[in-house]
Amino acid sequence: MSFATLPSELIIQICGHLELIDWCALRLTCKTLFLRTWERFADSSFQTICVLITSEGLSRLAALAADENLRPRVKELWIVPTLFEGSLDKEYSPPGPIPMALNNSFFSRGVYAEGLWTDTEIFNRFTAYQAMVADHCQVLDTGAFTSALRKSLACFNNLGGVGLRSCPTWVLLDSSRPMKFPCLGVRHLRDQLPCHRTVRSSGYSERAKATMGDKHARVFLEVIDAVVTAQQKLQRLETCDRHHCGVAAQDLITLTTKPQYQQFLQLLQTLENLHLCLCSTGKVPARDEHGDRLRGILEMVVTAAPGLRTLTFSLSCTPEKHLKPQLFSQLAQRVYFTRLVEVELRDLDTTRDDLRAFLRSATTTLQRLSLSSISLAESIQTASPWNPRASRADRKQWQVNYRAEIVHRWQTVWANLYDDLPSLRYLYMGNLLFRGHPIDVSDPLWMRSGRSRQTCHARAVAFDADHAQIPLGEWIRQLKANASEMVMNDFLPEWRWVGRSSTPHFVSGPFRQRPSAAGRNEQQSD
Amino acid sequence: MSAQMLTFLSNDGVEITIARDVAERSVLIKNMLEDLGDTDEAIPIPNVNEAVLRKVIEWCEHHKGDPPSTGDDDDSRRKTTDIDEWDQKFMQVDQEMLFEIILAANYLDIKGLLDVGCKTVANMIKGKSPEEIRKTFNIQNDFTPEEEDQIRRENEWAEDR
Repeated sequence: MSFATLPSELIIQICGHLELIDWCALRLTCKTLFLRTWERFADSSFQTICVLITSEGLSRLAALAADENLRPRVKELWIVPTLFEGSLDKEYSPPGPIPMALNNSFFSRGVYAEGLWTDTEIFNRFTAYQAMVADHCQVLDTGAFTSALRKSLACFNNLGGVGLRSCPTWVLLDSSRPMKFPCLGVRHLRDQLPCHRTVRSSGYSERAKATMGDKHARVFLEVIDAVVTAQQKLQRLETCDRHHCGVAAQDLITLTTKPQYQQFLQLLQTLENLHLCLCSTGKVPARDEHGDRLRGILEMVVTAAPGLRTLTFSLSCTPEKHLKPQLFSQLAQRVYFTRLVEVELRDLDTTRDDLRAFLRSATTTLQRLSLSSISLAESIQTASPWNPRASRADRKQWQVNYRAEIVHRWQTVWANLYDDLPSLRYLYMGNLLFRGHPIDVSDPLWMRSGRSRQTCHARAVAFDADHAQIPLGEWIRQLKANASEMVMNDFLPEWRWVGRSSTPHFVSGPFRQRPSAAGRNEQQSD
Repeated sequence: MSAQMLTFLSNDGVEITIARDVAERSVLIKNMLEDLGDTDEAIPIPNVNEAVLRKVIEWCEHHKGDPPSTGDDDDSRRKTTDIDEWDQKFMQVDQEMLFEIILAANYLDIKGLLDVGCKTVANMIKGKSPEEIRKTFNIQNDFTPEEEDQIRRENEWAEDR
């Protein structure tokens, strides 16, 4: 009895305890061990691959696509559309100290990592950085990326998932935190810009996301083009990942006018998982003349909806640039799910009715729902108009009633979710808003709600039936909400009169009025 | 009340008697006993010889009070090769015996023992070059240089992360 004569299942089990580097060494020992672990190695290493848009990344992608044994294993291909969070235009003429504008910035932290560097080291690092950026831009601008992507997609016959992934600088440069799957080109990049110190983790700033929106849209269009050329039917399409970096919606408008878009929609009919984060870059006013064209982009959701099992959908990555709420309203009326199990909605302005309409066709199937940064964009009509000359007590009471109505609106949403979604087992609500203003939600029974520490931050509540000690209905009924006094500031006429900005999308009051469930006698106050 | 005793017959014809709760660390035996009911006859273990069977029983006796495995290991738990001190000492056997124990644990469906065996082998591989692994397990390199180059290329792609 020897190692190589163990049954394959046991050899694979042993490999399961190995780090990748050790498994790679084992594969090089003899043919028997290589062959008996090949299938598992190929599946665990090449089912999902990521690619940097660099010469090296694309060269490796081409080599993998040309490999007859490995290419059938590739099932998901993710493109990293930006390097260094899109900070591609920083100007710096080393040697010399880093200018204040760059020092201590996100860019500086990323490229120079933590710690002190000598002038020579800074010079070398900046030169290496510039070379990488130049290469990245050249690959994109000369069509090399388009060509490589098209050729590769034509070779990956078993591909089911495609889209974009973010690779933040703190991951890109830090080899001590390897990614779950290969990211072709990353090792070469690290060789050019070696990082021997830890790069501190961070989150993308809203500014960085906005900067990246255009680039993401450009690369996403290339991906769509390659998918159509290869006539690749998809099960998974993603514009981003958990970082929720959107693609600039305005940059996709031209796509919707081309015949190619209809072909692309056809290929989405097999889609099971869609992660679509659209953002507004502000280049074109989101609420103006392109409303119809922006609607065209949402055809992706409408077309794929009947087959979808999971959906992540966002209409903005920055609160101040939310796309206009009618977009979601129009989508809500048209979308029809038949087997949707999981939904994550983010960064949306909506109404109770539109949210309900959106989920209406998933009532019997939906098990997991996440609502993040959802703003109820509704008008409130009060029994009597705001009177700045009223007594202090009356004004105070008016405000209390107004805030109570805001809370009531959200409570109605929760009650609707419970009434409408009998299969719901997981519910997350974080950073809820009313007309862009945060609402505080507290969960007195959080210890019995089954939520995990990882899923909840200070302004979030969650229920997980798998671990909860109370039923969902009881959990929802005990949630407490509070609209802070700050909410009032932007709504009261006297504040407006002195020039305080109102939530932009409410100035035009786009929503038709509907009597509330309680049949309140409401009058216009906005 | 004294523990119920069961007798097992190794594939080289040796009878070994052990307590039922120790024997039931093996899911195979536990299921068999549930199907057969009580039996006074020796239960044959056709794939395991006396030396290996005694070693397996030693492990089962030491771990008879352990909670049953849930079987839902996540990736990070699988990746760890931590082995407790007693088990490390228990596994200090020659390679022939080590692989026989792994085979027996697999046949008898003793997850904990199988886990320890696989981790022990994994620890013998960790941090070694291909040549060092060959020496450890007495493996002959039968690759052509071209084949080796191809595998190195695949490894490089896989390690690009």
